[in-house]
Amino acid sequence: MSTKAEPVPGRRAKRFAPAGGGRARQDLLAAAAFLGPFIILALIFQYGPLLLMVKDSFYDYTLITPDLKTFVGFDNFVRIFTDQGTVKSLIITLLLSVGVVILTIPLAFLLAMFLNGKLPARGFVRTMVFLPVITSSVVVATLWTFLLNANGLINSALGSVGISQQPFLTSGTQALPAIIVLTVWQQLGMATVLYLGGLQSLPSELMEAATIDGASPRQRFRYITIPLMSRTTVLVVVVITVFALQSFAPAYIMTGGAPNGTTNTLVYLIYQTAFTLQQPGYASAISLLLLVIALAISLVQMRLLRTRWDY
Amino acid sequence: MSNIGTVRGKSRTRLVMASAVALSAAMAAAGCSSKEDVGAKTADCPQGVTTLKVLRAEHQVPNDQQLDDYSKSVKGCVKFSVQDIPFGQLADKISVLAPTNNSPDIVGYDSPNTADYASKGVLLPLDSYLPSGWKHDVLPATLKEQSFKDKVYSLGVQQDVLTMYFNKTLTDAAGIRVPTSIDQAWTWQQAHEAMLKCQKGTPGNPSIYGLAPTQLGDGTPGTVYGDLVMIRSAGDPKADPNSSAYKTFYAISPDGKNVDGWLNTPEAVQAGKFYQSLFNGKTAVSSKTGRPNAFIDGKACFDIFVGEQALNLKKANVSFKWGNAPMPYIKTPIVQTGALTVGVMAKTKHRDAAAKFVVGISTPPQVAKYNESAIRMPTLQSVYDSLPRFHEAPFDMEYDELLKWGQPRPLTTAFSQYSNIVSKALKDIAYGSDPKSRLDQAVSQLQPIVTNAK
Repeated sequence: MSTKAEPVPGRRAKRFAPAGGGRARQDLLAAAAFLGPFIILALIFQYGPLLLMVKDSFYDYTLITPDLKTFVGFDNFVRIFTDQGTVKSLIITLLLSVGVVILTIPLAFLLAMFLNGKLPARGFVRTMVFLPVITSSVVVATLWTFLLNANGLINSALGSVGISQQPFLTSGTQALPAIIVLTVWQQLGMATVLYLGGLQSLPSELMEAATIDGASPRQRFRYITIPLMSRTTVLVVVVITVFALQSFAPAYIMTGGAPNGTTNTLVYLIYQTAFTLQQPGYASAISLLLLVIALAISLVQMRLLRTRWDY
Repeated sequence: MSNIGTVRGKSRTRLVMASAVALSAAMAAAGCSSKEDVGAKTADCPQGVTTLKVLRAEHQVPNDQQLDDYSKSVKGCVKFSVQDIPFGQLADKISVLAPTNNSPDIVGYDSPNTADYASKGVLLPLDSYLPSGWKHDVLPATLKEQSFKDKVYSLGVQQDVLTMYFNKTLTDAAGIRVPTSIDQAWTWQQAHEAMLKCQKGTPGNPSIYGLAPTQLGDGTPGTVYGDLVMIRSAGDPKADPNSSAYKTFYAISPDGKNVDGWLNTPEAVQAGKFYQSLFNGKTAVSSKTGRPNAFIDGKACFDIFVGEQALNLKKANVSFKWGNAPMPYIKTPIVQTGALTVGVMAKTKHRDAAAKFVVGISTPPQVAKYNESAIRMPTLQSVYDSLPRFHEAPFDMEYDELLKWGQPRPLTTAFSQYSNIVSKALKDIAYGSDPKSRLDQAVSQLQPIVTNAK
């Protein structure tokens, strides 16, 4: 039953190598002791509820009377695609995600390029860029409500240059773009920091070689920087997409899903369906769909944006 | 050396294991801890001191004064453990807690939800605890709203009623004489004309609003309490019960099972168009987005709000003269009743103590004390008679409204769903959606819910 240890160079590696049955067991026990509480927490608070959600999605009941459950099979899932409101909400959420990703990626990339240069007070500027990311979504949504209201700061500024008052939060054509802009503003810092990390890990030898070969700055950017950043881009696109799919606070605080459901994001719809409309079974089915969509989009993005480069 | 190493290794492993077990135990204890809710017996409290768990909206009933007064009245034998949450989250919280073993004993809830909660067994009927003569003393609308299938679930300590406050300095300057008694109430057409006349600046972006942006709900148009009343006022309760005018007035069938043909009648659509005109185009007199305190800041001629506004205006010591007018109407005067009230959760382990508390704070002296300090309209005629303040302007007119025009909000066991769906429809209409198609859409969403509501 003894475990044969492979020779591992280095003092640190040796320390954790399984030197014998007793040592290996000790290490396993130590690992289990450290990981155990957190695995238990993850099972109780993440995977357990996930399984419950899957189960609930096959039932019809209310939160107040959960004991009076009726098994409805796949009815809740069928309803998702026959209920116009839910389909609209799904489309709006996808539009929001696409809009946020399309705007965030180039802006974050350019900002990261800018911050990667030798700037005075670079740390301060980076902090300023990252600050919205760590600000509560509720605070951000409230702040932007004040900015975008009919009597808000932005309309006042527009008025001072002779532009008429804009219904940013009450117009069917402007409310969703307004939320996209807000989300981009909030997530730009995260994407920028990720890109900055990517830029700083680029091998300088390649740039030097290209410079010696006579490549212009534009060519170096086009043929070296962008391809080598594709791995970071995959990460940024996935992170930002998943974040946008989970958008809740702007709809909850700024618009209530109005006007005419044009800002009724999927997570807000789930909240409304479960708690206000008292249909947690249906809400669970929509949640499951959202999970599948998030996973599918992430997998497709990772496949499409798969890097052909390594360094 | 190897022995020492092994011993140290075992000690370390044990230490790690012990730490992990302690961490897990601490987490479990934090999640599962509970307090004993009946304390030791004392000379004053031979049954022990009972602690009742209270869930209420922030700054609302049952308030600290009511809890303290009751606790003192029973020599400290009942104490309270209070959880305050924002009003907007109250219904959700009650729904989540109701089926659990952690539900509160006492709940301060919005009275239009009585039928909903009662039908699902959330609330305890209080009939056996009602003081004699109470049913003859209480306002008819309050009794109707806080009962379900002939059982009473809450006694009520207050009623809210909407009136139209006006900035007398501005209306006088515009040469507008505003009625202050219900027999002279304006129609909405008259009110709208006055608002337009008094308003200053560009409609939609005025410097002085004709009608202040609402303070109800989230500060945007569309609340069932504040705005559905206009739609309902286009109906007629004296018309043939099969007519659309009759159905418009009630906005839901008497059994609470039908909204199709009640909420989307031609009269309701027409009223929706008028409602829309208050927020759009050259006839706009109000705003689609919130502007807190517009009226108190002197930036609006009129404001539709509950009696609390009188207290706010006094506290703010505003520089302008003000008064209040009865609610305008389209065809039939109406105000919707309902306010936060106090009930007993059916799952309580202290039914008797909890029910006696609710009755205790609902006795005429206690209600009078609360109404006087909070300046909220009484639910009992005897309390109204005993309080001179409510016989003077502006409160006498408010009580008249309650008594003569008061109607419960649409009675259904799916009121929270009704309120949510109709509110969204009204908000969309205010924002510019076609009233007919938006009301039809609301009906198609709501009809299966009310049909299946138990």
